[in-house]
Amino acid sequence: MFNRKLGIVDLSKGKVKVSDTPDSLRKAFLGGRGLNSHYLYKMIDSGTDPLGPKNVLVFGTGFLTGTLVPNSSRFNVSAKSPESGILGDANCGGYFAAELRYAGFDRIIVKGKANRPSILYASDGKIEITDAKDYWGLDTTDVQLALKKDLGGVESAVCGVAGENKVRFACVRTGVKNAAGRCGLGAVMGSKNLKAVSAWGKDGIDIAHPEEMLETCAELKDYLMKSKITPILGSVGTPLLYEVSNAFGAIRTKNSQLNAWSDSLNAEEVEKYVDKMIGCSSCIVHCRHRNSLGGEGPEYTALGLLGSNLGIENTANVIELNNVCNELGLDISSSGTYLAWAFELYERGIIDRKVTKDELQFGDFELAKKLLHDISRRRGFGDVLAEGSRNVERFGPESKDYLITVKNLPQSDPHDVRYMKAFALGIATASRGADHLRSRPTLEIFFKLPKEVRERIYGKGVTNDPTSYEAKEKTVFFSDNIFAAIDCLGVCKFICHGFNSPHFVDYSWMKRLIHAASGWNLREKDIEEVGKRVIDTERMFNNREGITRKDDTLPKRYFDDPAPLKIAMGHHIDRKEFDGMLSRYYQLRGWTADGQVKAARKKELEAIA
Amino acid sequence: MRLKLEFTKPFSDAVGRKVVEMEFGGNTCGELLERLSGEYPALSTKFYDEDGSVTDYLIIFLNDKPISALEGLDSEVRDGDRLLFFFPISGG
Ligand code: SF4
Repeated sequence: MFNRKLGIVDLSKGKVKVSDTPDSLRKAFLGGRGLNSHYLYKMIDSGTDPLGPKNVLVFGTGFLTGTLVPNSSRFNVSAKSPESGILGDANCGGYFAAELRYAGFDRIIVKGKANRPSILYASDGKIEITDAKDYWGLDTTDVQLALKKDLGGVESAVCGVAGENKVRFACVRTGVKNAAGRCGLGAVMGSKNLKAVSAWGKDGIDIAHPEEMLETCAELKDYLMKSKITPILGSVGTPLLYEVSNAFGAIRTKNSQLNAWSDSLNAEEVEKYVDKMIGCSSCIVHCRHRNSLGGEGPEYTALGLLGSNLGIENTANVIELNNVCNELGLDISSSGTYLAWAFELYERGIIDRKVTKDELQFGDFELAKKLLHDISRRRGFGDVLAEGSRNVERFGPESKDYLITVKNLPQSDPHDVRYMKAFALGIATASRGADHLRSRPTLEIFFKLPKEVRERIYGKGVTNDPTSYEAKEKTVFFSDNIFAAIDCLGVCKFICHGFNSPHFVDYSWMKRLIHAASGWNLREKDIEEVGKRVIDTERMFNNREGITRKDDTLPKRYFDDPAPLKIAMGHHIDRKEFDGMLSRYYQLRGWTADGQVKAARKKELEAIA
Repeated sequence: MRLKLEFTKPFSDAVGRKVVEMEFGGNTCGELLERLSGEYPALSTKFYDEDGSVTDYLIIFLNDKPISALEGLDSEVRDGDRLLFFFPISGG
């Protein structure tokens, strides 16, 4: 069988139901993020407490996950986010997703709350709920090793102590560093007394046209391997970006008071700590590092948000903070953003030792490390920080001016968006809050993108000047749609057209891969429509939680404080121009001027079953 | 004219340095690429594809704009200009 089962687990009742996913739903959303978002919209009432038993947590593999397709390693974890209070969703690599499919499941939906720490074990088309008392309290790697030993070779998605303690930005982890990092989904696991979902399987996936699949994948591999970008990603990984952003003046530094930092976090310094490069299942790129300090990473995000953003220069210190976050199960983007926020608030006298207990300052590695441990165990000031953006109420309204979030979610990557206007619109409109992985538009700076190619991709009128606001809504619209589609397929964004390259996996490749795998004859337009459907469904979820135009905005600093250093110096986001871009984006999406999905579209999407 | 060039990885590996200050007698970015490839042979495989065309995977900033926003390889360079060469890559 190509299709696997849907498992619905009610932890309150201790019951498991196994069923099929109707083809009508799969054709509308394919899988992964899209189907997850559909289920969230259908199953969660507005106003639901994200940490209460009525929240629904979904582990969903992509349509092509676990197949021969290059980089088809991905799954999405989704729930209402305890960090932002809106749609929560995070994409993750590693080996768990493929294993879950081999165990017989495309997707597991978890409802309710177990009355004691529990584990879900999926194998051979069945799911067991078992006791987790021996595993509760373990760090993310230790618990996975223990589960492998006890259950025999399983792959697991787990929460760390941060998740157990319901830290609002706790992540879900699989392997040493693969994270469904954003939106606090590890805290949702903790709130349900769920320590891990483990899977082991031996059932291969039946492919509709095996010969065609072999040929298409071989062709795609050749195509990808010929690109100059593949060996660079496979030898240096994302740390390469740090140097680029830093040279440019686009690296978030000391809570975005500055936009450039030290060369000590450049890729060649990181390389001194790299043991080897590794990859996720079926990956042909291998972009991840195993570091000599006992972990994996760091990615560009960690270098920026645990390095420059905290004012830390020492490479080993930053790698250690990266490893600490991974073991505790804390999202690196949020951790680095909240710590930097607190440091600046302390410097400005907006908070003091009555709240913080310790003196806070940028550049203090030991302090940052201690606070990460305290957050994960909710000790002292760590207990306060564990509440994330909600601290605006505690710290006072002025504190919000210094918080680098959109819709209460810290910006995911360390890129200061004041120079690139399309990037700014992307993080303002992303469905889960400030996020580059939803729409990062990068093709405009490719000088070899001829006008006709640019217009074929984005539509007419998009300029090649990143500082122009003209028609930039089209670049975000295009990127949003295709990244949603690839998230539904379970393929890594690094090989998606438009993320790193004007080449790579575009709708025509997707069409061929879908046909080979399932026999479905989708048109390219149909796949683009899947992406649009996902974005609208996620917006409907958010509209229902009260999200409107007022929320599609940026941190105050990006509007009001021009970047102080390097090429980006003097650039900021103009409020009026931004507003114009936003209105034009809504028009492209067919949303109302206030950012609502229109009634007719809502009715159409609600009817999908 | 005098130019200040900054290279990030992998271009800096080919040059052996991150910053180069040089005298340049040409006019355009395209001519500058040719001159640099002559001077640093390891750069030519990074700048050009096998068919001799300039690779897609090179971004050049001339002062505060990418040359995509100017005249591409025909963009004119002037005395005192600063150029940044980097490899386009995304991620998080
Ligand atoms: S490119 Fe990197 S993140 Fe993507 S599948 Fe490969 S190893 Fe995983």
